[in-house]
Amino acid sequence: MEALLRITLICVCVQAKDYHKYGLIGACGDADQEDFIVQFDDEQLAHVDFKEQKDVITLPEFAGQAVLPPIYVDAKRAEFNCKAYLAVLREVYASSPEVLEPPWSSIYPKSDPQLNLKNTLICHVTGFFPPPVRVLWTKNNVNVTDGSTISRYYPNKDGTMNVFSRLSFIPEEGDIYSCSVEHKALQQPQTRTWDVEVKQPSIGPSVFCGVGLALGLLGFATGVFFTAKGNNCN
Amino acid sequence: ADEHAFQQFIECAFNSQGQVDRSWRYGYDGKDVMHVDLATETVVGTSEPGKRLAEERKSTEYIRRKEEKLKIVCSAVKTVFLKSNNTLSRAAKPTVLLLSNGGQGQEYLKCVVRGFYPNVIRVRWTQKGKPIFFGVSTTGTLPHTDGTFQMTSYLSLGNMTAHGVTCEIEHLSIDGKLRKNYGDNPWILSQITVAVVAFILGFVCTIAVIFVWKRHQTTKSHDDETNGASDESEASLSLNVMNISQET
Repeated sequence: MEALLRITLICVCVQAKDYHKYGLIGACGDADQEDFIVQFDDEQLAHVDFKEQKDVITLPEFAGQAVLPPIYVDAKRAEFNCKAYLAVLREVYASSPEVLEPPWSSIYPKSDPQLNLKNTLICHVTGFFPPPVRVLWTKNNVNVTDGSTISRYYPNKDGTMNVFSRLSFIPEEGDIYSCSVEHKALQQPQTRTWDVEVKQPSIGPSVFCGVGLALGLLGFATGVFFTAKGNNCN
Repeated sequence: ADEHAFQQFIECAFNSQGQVDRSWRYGYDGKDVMHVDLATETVVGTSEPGKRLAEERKSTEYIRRKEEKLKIVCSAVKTVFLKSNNTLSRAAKPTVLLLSNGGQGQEYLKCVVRGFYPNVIRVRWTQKGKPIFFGVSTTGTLPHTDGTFQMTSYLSLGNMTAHGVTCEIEHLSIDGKLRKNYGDNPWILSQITVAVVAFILGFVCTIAVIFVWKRHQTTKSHDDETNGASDESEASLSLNVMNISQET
């Protein structure tokens, strides 16, 4: 029933191309965590930094600057209501089993990898609940502790979370990198592997072919010239 | 100690004609709990505990309070939407790279689609016009650091040949479909470019040699003209001698 409804919703969204949806998402957790996000379609426009007590615009640069109304005040009010709801729901759900959603991860480079050129590997972990997840990187089966970072948690439409871990690296022939994700819902870590297989363009045969062709044509021209000259002498 | 989280979703949907839909949803630990149904003015529980929670909130006062809040939020959001429509509706066209990979017997094709916005996209594999569904896997839509999105689709070849395989992309920024045929590789393109340049160089050499040869022919023709002039001079001298004889 719910799945069917979601599929229908997805179809409607896809078919109507000029159909846009704005969303405000407020969230809080037991350990004094709180979050407030402004979303446009699947894009996050802004979130509230509760420590700094300010709005943080996260719209991509190429989209220009959208004008947003101040959201910090609304976020504080939402946080207050959120805590109240959380207290009530904790009692209501006390006898329900814990909800665990396992993560799904993907590993990919930030830009096309070229040998000996600095790059960033990104591990995207999505679809999990609750936070946190732990992301471990290895290079040729050796743990990497430096050069990796993890982002804040972002909400998905279905209420689960996603996060990004980044690793700075320099691709070298034959290196094998992997990111392992640990989460409460996983029996064992979920590992994704990425091989450094940078293909050099095979210019050699082309150059050989080109030079050969040029020499052939030059030889042909020389032959024509001397043939004509010989006939003239006769 | 168990940790729990509560989420509240307030959503307003618009198209170019104006407001389309409003919704207010609650989630607990990543699951839907209940939502406010504005059409029937009820609170709908979507889970067993949610139903109990919804029961306690079945009052017109509660629903009107939510409806009032939604009106305020959607009105403010509509203002933002109208101001930002051109900005947020901007589209970025993807670039497509089609590569082959894998060792013997485990060959697969990789279609890398990068730099598109917004993130709704459709990537399909076809061979001679027929869609391919088996052996297809994808990374899903992933974000890029510049704010655009990327996706990679993999096609396991198995017993299939790569000949005639095409990666098709449908996106808001593309009219119709963007097609990438296997064999349309940048490297092959550069090879063809080198070959064409080499051919042009060879052709230019040929033209140059022929030109030099023609100049040589022109020089010989000039010598012939000189001989012609010499003949005319001899004829004149003969006539003069005859005139002198007649006078005597």
